[in-house]
Amino acid sequence: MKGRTIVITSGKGGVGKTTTTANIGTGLAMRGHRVVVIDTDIGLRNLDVVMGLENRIVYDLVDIIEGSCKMHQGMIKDKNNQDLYLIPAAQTRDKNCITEEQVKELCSKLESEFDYVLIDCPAGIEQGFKNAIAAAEEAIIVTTPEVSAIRDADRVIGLLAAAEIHNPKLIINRIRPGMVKRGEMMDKDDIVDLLAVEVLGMVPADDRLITATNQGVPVIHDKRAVSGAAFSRITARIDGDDVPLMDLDPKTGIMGKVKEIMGMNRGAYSHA
Amino acid sequence: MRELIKWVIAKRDQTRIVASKISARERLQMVLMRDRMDVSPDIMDALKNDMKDVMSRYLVVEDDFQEFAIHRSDESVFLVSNILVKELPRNTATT
Ligand SMILES: Nc1ncnc2c1ncn2[C@@H]1O[C@H](COP(=O)(O)OP(=O)(O)O)[C@@H](O)[C@H]1O
Ligand SMILES: [Mg+2]
Repeated sequence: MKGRTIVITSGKGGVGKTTTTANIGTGLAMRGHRVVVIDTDIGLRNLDVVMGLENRIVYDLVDIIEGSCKMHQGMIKDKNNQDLYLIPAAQTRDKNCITEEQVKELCSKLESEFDYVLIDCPAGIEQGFKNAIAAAEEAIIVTTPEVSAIRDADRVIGLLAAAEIHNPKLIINRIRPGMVKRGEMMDKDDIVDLLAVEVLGMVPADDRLITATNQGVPVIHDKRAVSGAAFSRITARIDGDDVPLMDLDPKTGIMGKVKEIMGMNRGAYSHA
Repeated sequence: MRELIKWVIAKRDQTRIVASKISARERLQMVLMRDRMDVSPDIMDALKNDMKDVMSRYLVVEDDFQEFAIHRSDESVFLVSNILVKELPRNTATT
């Protein structure tokens, strides 16, 4: 059976595309699928360090496309999952050195070997974006609950539609449940109202994600991390499980407040 | 007494903070409306050519529009176009 090619995009940089790609890729592999993640951010390679594979790189995406190496030589096997592979971006090349056609050709080869082909898209809407979406049949849009990120997401939704990629799914990253509760931050309903897309999941802002990333381990491996749990749920939804969305509200009540003040309420959220 | 002051400050902060989410939402609404109404130059050109084709089925018009642009007010979008009619065929005027 042919695999699914999904692009992870956003328009704006720094909202969590690479983090999302690493975690969903890992999550799908943990569920027993064969997965390849591709970093298309040529010149600004990042997915390798987020996955902790930076020391194993020999060849990259451009090498594969130009035929300087065989496809399998350019794929790096993950440390923890033998069914998870990374194709890193080229670091010292220009994004115009590959074409949309070449990306399509590579992905159609990968689709015959893998259940999932995940494409980490660069920021922006120029050639790098076009290359990243060229082969995708589905799209995941990552945003944060901020005006600029949501605006860019809207723009990208329009561009995806023009490229015949319909019904993209939205991940709202870096939500701070406490702020949402106090009305300091837009919540899911505000964002869905404005963008009119289906929400795939919400990921809270989480210190444990940062410490996991420091170590090159996707946070989905961390059983105690709320963001990791959120990514697990998102992964299950992508994979077809019917997992309902949940509120990220921190537990109310006096103990909840005390814990919040003391920074102890990590486990007190329900995960989205 | 101190409790009361604390409560008042908290309440004041809360109303100010609530406004921050609402203003984010309102600003986004406006900006998205404007972004979505933007028409690309390609589309404008195609529209212009199609309109000229349609008009020339009924009228003899100048080659180019004197004005052809999208104008916006707070709530609505207008297409404003101006073209010189060189000839009004008799049969269009009567039927
Ligand atoms: N939910 C989160 N909580 C805390 N930090 C996060 C979260 N998501 C992303 N980050 C951090 O934000 C930064 C940008 O994320 P990244 O995935 O590189 O974004 P992008 O690929 O969209 O540019 C990284 O340093 C990452 O660790
Ligand atoms: Mg990135």
